[in-house]
Amino acid sequence: MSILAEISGSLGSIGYGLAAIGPGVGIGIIFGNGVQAIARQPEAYGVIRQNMILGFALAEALALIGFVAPFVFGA
Amino acid sequence: MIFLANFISLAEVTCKFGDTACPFPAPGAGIFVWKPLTSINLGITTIDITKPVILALISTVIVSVVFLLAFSRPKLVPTGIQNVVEVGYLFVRDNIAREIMGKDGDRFVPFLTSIFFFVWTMNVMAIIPVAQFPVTSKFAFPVVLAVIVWLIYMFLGMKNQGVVGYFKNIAFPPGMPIGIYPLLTPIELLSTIIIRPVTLAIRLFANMFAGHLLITVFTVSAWYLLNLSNFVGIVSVIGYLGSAVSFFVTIVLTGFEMFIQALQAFIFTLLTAVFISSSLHAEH
Amino acid sequence: MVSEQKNFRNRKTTSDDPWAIVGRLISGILIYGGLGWLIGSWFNKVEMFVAAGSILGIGLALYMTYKQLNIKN
Repeated sequence: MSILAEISGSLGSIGYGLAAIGPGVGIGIIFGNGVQAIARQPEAYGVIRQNMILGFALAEALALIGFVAPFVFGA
Repeated sequence: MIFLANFISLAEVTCKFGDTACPFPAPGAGIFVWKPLTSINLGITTIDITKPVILALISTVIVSVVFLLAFSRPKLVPTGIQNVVEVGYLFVRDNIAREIMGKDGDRFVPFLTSIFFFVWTMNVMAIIPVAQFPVTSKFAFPVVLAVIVWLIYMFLGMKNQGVVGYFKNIAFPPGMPIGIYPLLTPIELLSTIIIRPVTLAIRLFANMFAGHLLITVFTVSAWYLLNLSNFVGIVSVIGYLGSAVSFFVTIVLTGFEMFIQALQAFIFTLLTAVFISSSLHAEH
Repeated sequence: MVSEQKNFRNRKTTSDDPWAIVGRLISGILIYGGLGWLIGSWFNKVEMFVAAGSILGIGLALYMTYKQLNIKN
């Protein structure tokens, strides 16, 4: 069976680019909702900020795993 | 002409206007490498005077001259240029230093102001007509600035908390169960001592590099799509339409780039203030 | 009542600074991934140990962030 289409070159950067879509959207949603919550109830700023930062750390971890994966599994 | 386009391209540009069937001269990393205008040979090294070097010197002169003119004979009620420059100085003092460090950060405001306006002027060189090259997109310039900031916050930390005390305060973050400290200490040490200046430099460099590359791609494509004279009829209209769209996108991206230049200078200065303040006051 | 005074203690401390968290994640990956690479090159199975080390580093960094945020329920 012959090859119909092929991607060559730096596959790691394509992989990271695809892997950064999800965390980008996720971090946007987290901080957007956090800002909205602070606007609704400014007294709760401390609690909201802490939970916002925790959610951001988890989402960012996935993006960094996507950055590291080509080096781990690469040739 | 030599000042404008003296770069060493990775791909030879063979297209002239009116050529048919030449490939798209894609701008790559080569547009950031410039041939030297003159070279000074010092025996063991040669110093190449290239366009980014000249632009950096011009930025230094601009920032120094403006601030010297404004504050050489300061009046209590400001007039003239002192009025305008004071707005900039007070912006850095109120929004960056006082927010992060409180009133005892006032002695760092001259340093923060210099960094802010120097980085901003070097970034703005990307959109000034004859210059058109953001000096901070050469990796050396953000690296040197980040090294200066690193030396300053390391020195201040060791001066205010003692040499051993400073490293102890970094290495043992409060609030952890005791048994896990041997695993966490290398992470904290590496993160504070190495990763902070590295991300500071890379953030500034990558933003300016990407912005310049984007604007160049759309400008070259606006010129290239105007050139498809080997098509006739309806397809040449598509070429002209594509060229007009590319030109419009160039203008939009330039506007966006102006915002990003100011924002990156602001973030660089803000993070400098955060690092200095975390060196002055030990964490908890 | 929201306090109007600009108290400089409101600044982001290290546990709240998002860039510090990114730096901590990267350092966790570098250190424990590097350790995994060293161990893996001794055992001749590099990829497995680098991956395990990276995941461990990320886990430690996330644990540190969670503990330092001090979330009271």
